Amino acid sequence: MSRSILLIGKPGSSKTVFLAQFYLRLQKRKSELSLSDVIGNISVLAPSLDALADGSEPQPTPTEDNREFLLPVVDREGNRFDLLCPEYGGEQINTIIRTRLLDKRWMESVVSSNNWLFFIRLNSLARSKDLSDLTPSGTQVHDQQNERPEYEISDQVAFIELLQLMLQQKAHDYHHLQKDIRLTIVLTCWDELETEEPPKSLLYAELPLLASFISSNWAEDMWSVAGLAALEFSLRKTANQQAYKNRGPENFGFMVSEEGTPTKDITKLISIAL
Amino acid sequence: MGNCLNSECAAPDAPCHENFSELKKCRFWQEANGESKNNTLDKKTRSARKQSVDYDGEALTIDKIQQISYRSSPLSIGIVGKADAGKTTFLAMLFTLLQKGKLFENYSFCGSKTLIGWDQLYHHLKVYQGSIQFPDPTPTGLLRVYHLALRAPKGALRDLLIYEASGETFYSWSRNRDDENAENARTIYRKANAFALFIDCADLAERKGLARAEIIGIAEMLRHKLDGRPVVAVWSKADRMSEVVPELKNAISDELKDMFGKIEEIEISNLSVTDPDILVHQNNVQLIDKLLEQMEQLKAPAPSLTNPNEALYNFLP
Repeated sequence: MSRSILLIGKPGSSKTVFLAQFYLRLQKRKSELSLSDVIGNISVLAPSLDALADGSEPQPTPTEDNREFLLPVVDREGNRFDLLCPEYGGEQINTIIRTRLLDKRWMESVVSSNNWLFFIRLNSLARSKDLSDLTPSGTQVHDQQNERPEYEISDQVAFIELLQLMLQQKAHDYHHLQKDIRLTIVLTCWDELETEEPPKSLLYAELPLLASFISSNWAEDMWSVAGLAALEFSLRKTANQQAYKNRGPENFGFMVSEEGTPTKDITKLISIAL
Repeated sequence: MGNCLNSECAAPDAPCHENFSELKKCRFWQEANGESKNNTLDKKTRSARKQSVDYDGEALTIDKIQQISYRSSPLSIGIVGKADAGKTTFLAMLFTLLQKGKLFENYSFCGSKTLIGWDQLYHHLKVYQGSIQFPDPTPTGLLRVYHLALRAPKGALRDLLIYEASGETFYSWSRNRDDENAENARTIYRKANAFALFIDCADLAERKGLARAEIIGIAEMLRHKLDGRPVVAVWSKADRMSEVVPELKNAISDELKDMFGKIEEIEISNLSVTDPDILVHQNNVQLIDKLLEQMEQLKAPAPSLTNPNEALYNFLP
């Protein structure tokens, strides 16, 4: 029986680009991994593959497109596993947190997988100043009773809550550290961050409560953090577009290990997740 | 258009539980809306499809704390004080600081069944158009319980509950322990393992003796049958401490020492004067540290290995 790696991330967290680049690497045999079967229907990925081939950034998958996507993969030893994305482009993660209802497909995906790849795009997170940031002169802080925006769950809390909901489905016992589920946090669009900091330190710096939650619930060797730049650079510049067109998208993209070591082989992310 | 027949599906407000992009293709939806040809779904089948989680993430009510107590004997703190003493804002600031990486001295954050409730408090303290909105006063009659799951240094899970109620209930309690409006104060007093007694510096600066009398009235009720449970005196809005007459502050401190014997005091604030400001960035978290430390010191001997079902802790009452 094959294992499955569950790919999770909010809309816009670069799941589509990674899947397209990952698929291309396997298709072009640029990885120690390969596809275990020919994919009969790649219509879900096709727009992204076309965009990359043309040197343009794939458009975000329409949020109403909630189709499941699965890539069957095999390594050199013949071990087979499925890379599974239960909601390819949809808003289901947000809905799950809001309604606290996991639909059957999600349920099955969570229950059947012990390898979770959690995509987070740090640059897309909402950042608000709060009272603890202010050193008031006396006029800066005042109590305003009207026209406040409605409550909206903050990003860090949403990530923790989603993991809590998923752990609940796995009957996680909070008395003990998690030793069955391997969790890989992937900080996506790494090139945007322009940082020298290793991914794990960056997670602690940017999302400290999430990092604390994970380190308090997972055994140390069962979770890790990686950086991923699936495109390698923005495709808004003409020169970058030309490079994609001329050399092929599969030659671009890189990832950064937990300690900060870069590598061009983004399929190594799967080895980490396993 | 009606709701879905599947009681666990929130359609049409949420995506179809069965993953149909068009609701009319779902048999649950069809049956709920008279579109089904054969009504084959019995109640047992519907029940077996339950996939919702058993908590909503918001602050708990007292009748729901079994959601925590089923797995451990939680430690609990009662936040005690008059109206507008900064009790709710303290909780909002506590979570704000935790979100931003401030740590308890001996515990790490392990989760919360009331994470949405905490986040709603935090939402108040976000700056919007140059302003923040302090949380509304806790409604009279409401008792909210916030939860933190913490990991102790040796790996043990500590569930911490923090009880919070309106200042009015404590005022009524301070006048008459059996007052009908003091039910929530009585509940907190009965259930908490430790207390944070809030003393409002702004009120002391303005109303002086009257404010002191109210604080002492609440403290008097608190010490009755306290049975050794820890109390920490919390000087809230301490950015205004300089406006409190020193004799008044000293008199309150002395009275509290007379009542409780050894009592720890801490000054907290929500308004920073410097960056960082100890009163804001350190003491709001340290208050919980102090109470946790004192509760840990009170814990009973570890259960014997021959009786693993024995409660881990045996707090009074």
